Amino acid sequence: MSATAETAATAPARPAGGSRLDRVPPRLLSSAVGIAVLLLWELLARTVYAGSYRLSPPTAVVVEFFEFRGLYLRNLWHSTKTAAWGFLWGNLAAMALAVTSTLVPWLRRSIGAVVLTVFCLPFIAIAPILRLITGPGNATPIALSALAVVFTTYVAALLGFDLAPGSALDVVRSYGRGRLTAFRNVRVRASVPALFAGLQIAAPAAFLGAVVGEFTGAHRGLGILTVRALGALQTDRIWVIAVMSTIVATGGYLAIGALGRYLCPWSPALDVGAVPVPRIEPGLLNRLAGLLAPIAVVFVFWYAFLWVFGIEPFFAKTPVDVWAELFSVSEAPETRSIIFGALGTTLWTTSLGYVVGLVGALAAALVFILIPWLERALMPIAVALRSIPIIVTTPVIILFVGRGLLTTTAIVAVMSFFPTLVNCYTAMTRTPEGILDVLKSYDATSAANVRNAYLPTSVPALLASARIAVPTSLLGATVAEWLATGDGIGAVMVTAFTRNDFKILWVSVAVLTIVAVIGYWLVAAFELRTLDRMAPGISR
Amino acid sequence: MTANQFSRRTFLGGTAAGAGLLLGGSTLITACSGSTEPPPAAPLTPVNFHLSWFDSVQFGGSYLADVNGHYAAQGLDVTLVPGGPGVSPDTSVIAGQSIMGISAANFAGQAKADGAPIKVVGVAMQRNPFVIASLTSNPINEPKDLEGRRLGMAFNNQLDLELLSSLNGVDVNAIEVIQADYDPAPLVNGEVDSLLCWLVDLPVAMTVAGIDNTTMLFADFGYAVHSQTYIVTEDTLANRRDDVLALLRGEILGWQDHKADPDTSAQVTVDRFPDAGMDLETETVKAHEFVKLMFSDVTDASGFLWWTDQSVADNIRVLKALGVNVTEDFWDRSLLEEIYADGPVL
Repeated sequence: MSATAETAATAPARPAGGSRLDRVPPRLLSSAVGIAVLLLWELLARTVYAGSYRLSPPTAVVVEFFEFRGLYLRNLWHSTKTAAWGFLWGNLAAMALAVTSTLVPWLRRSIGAVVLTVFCLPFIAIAPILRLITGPGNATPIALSALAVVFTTYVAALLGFDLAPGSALDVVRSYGRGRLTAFRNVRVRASVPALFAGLQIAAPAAFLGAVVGEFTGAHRGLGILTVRALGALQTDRIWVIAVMSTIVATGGYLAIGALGRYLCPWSPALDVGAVPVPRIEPGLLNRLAGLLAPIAVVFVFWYAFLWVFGIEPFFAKTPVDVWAELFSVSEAPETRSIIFGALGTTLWTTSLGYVVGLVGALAAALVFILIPWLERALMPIAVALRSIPIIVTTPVIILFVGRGLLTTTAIVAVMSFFPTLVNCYTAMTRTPEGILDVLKSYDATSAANVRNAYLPTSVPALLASARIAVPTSLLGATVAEWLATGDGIGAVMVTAFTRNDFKILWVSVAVLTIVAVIGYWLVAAFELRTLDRMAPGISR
Repeated sequence: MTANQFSRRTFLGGTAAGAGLLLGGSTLITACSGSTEPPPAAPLTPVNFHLSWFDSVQFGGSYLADVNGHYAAQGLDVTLVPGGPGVSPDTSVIAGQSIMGISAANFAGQAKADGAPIKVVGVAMQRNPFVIASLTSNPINEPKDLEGRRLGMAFNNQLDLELLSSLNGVDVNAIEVIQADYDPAPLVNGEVDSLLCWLVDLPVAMTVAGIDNTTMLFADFGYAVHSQTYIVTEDTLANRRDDVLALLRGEILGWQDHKADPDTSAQVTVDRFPDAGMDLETETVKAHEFVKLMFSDVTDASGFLWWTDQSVADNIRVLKALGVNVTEDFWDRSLLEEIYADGPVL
């Protein structure tokens, strides 16, 4: 059912003609590719990697699963339940904030700044601080899981609300109705495709949050089982967990996608004629207020956080403390050299992986749109890979690239590649039919289609993905540095909290967060300029 | 910590717990305690005891204390809170969430040096469990053997490696360090020649998997850092001394049971955590290894958790070399002296 719906929704965007493989049923094609992958995997595991404690053959994975199925299912259930709670609360919060931002435009910048800052906070460093607030139990994994999804869903929902067709908004306006009516009747419906694309990304993020949360102390869960299995040379167990996570994450992804199509079968095309909404009021005072207010809000939240939870001075460091630690105390030069030296390493590996991931994703999306049979054969695999939590992918990446700086780069590339691919591909399938019809009537080549239709329609999605990928890449990098390489700012933070050095911990958190926010705003500024030039109709 | 601060923290802590409950629905609290003894007349005092790692036979004595009713007999309802790679038990203790926690002298000492009001009241591991593990076919028998070899270790053990090197005249720059954590596979696969790990962890896994390995104990080469140390805050010592005494008594009774029958301790551990997928054979080997690390001539003479003045002097010297400055008052043996007034066995 879902496959038919997808074909119906996206068929017009695909170029006519093409390979004979296009007529092969998608299920058959995916199955053939799947079987080929499994055979190759079995062969490699039985030959090249035999006895290496790295790669388990699929047959051994199946045997291991059935032998200990109760154990696996209980742990899977636990982690999934945690992730589901986080997914629920995080997304509810994100949607409430997105609605507020759309209805009360003057709050938009401040809400955006706080949500962004929260998202840029390095996961691995705030986990122990959350544990400090929540105490023992499952609240920290759930909270981490919720924090992991808030920002992406917020951005996706906002994008969706903003993508409302200008003509429809004009109709509402011409009837003399206000923002609320426009929101209820136009924006909510228009937001469904983008929102669900965001929710699809949120699913594995929630899972990652839950698993990192388990590392702060829990009795059960897949994250704990993974660490135990690594230490006990139980390679089959690691692969069972990887396969299981993949199946569940892919299932979640497909279910969310199916729900999105069910709710929004009409999939509105982008309306390039929409009237742009002024983003900021003109005048120096307004500009200044627009810039300073969000920064002030973040500082207010910082102090409020420390005060509300009554965190003791030993743990709690204020902006003033962080400044002193970096610039005025006697050890400040040493602190600076530790922090900025490590930051340099992290930024270098991260930006390399970021660029590789984005460029690769755009290229893959184009290949998929031009060669539909390839898309049908490979997209399920791409989706599956995208959904595997990084904790589980890391050992696999180590298998192929070792434990050097390249590991961080590879993990960052993987983390930014798959969401960008999904976003760009979705945007391309929504290319307005009119444009393609015109191109078709001119007998345009594939290259012309790409240049004139697919690339331009994917630009907003690519830029939005690139923006969101800044914090997620840094998150991926710090997790990789923690688990695999032991370099960079991720290692500094982990060393700091295991040694109870809360000064270094807060300084690292502050510096890394500022870097992520600045990176995000640089991409956002570029995005604004580009959209103004290329697609002035798309209001933000 | 002023009284005012304390009450605000406690009050808000309660609010946060409420918020957490809202957040987590019914799944929030997964208390693991639960005594098999019939409850005594007086209500038990609930306390959190924060362990230093995931559930494992490393805490077998604590599980026995629970199962055999030693905690309850002392009037306590103890929740054993698991640790993990992303949490420090010291934090939980300093924040007042756990009455006592298990740490190591270097980590707790750093917190103490930074102004955290904590004290060591018990030392479970007489000998530090850090080892260099290697394959017997390519053994590392002494620190000098590390030079020119590849060593896999977690990056936050760098200071420990530097200290071991300086104590034994080894050029630390001649060791090629590769990040490897919680995983013996790099050694087995020949990606490294040695691993810095715990005696009772990766080497046991290799032995159970039939891989011959050699271990070199840090403690045999001057690295005298107390491990699996029991820490409490000065505030707790002043205001809840009886609860700490009760918890220590329960612990000691539990570990005496463990020493008497490590096999049962392993069985109890495996049965207690069916979701952890522990292997009974592995846990049994570990249970016996822990006895060797936790009991010695010192504990035979003075009791479990005891330490000597000499070992404190050694710790202060070694910790100083690690960049952690603490003094004798970091250790408080008065509780153990009270507990063992009638001899080294309870």
